[in-house]
Amino acid sequence: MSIIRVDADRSTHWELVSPAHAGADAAALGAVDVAVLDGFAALQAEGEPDLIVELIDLYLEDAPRKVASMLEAVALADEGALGRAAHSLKGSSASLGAGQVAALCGELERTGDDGSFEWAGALLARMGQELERARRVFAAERQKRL
Amino acid sequence: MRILIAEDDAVSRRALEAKLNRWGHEVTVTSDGAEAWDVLRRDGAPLLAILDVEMPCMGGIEVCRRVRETPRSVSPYLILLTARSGKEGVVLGLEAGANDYVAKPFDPAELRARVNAGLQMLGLQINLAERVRELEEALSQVKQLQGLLPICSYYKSIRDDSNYWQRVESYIGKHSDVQFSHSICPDCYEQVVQPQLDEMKRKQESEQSGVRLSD
Repeated sequence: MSIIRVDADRSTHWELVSPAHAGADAAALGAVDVAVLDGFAALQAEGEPDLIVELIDLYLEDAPRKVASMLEAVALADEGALGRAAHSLKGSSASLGAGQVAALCGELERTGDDGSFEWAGALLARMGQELERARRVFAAERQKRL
Repeated sequence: MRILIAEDDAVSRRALEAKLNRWGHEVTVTSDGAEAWDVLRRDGAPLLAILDVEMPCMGGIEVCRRVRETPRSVSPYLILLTARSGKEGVVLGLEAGANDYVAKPFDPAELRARVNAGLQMLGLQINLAERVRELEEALSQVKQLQGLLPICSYYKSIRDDSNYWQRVESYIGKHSDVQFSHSICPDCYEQVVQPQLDEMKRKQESEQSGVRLSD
């Protein structure tokens, strides 16, 4: 099951996750290096909204858009667009400790280099699964900080 | 010092802004190269900019090129954020006028050290520009006297380029911004003025004694 739904109007949404699955369950553990996330606590400015929550929200808002761009790029065999979207999501994923997502984005970034999209679909599916695992960890971390 | 950042990825941009704020810098945030250039082209723009190489509308390399085409008394210090594998981007960026680069994902300590190196360089440039401005201002107030001046050994008049002898104060007044106020030095007073005064006094006394004899 794809965790990101792309509607006909190209808007993207996370698939609804029931409350029972909202936390970082055992299957999701390891999807995010929480120490990387915790590292941002040192940058928290006094009296300002929680920086880690802010970064998680930005990520969860942006990631589905990037995935939608990648799906569209693969459909159109547009290697430039695939590379840009994958590169961007790779950077933000690495910044927040989502190492597996970042690694798969790196592979997707290189996939279109030779004009071959043979593996792009499979990589995107794997990345979708990793992204869902990361999302669960982020949701749990976010919840802890509210 | 105020620092401009240009980064299209919202997470990386916010994380970078938080780091720079934490290190005590005021940050101007932009999300693509066109927006960054729009800020950097204005007077009073930040003098240090951290620019992502890959951005929509305009990339960091093009921003560097445009900044360097615009002459400034203090040239902005430009740091590029590049992909770790993007050596080509590094070369193009440095050729376009970037001062330095940091590969992403970057180590915060490395970025901080590079930002500090940039600030140090800017400090030297700002001091130098200030000194040059002071010197130019001083120079604009000075008319220089150059070359050999033929001067009369007795009368101390000076021969000008038109072979005309001028009094020394007239010549110097014409070739500089100096103004003269006349006075008498102690030697001249003793050798010239005092004898004249003595002579006048002597004449006055002899006239008075002549008047008394005629009475």
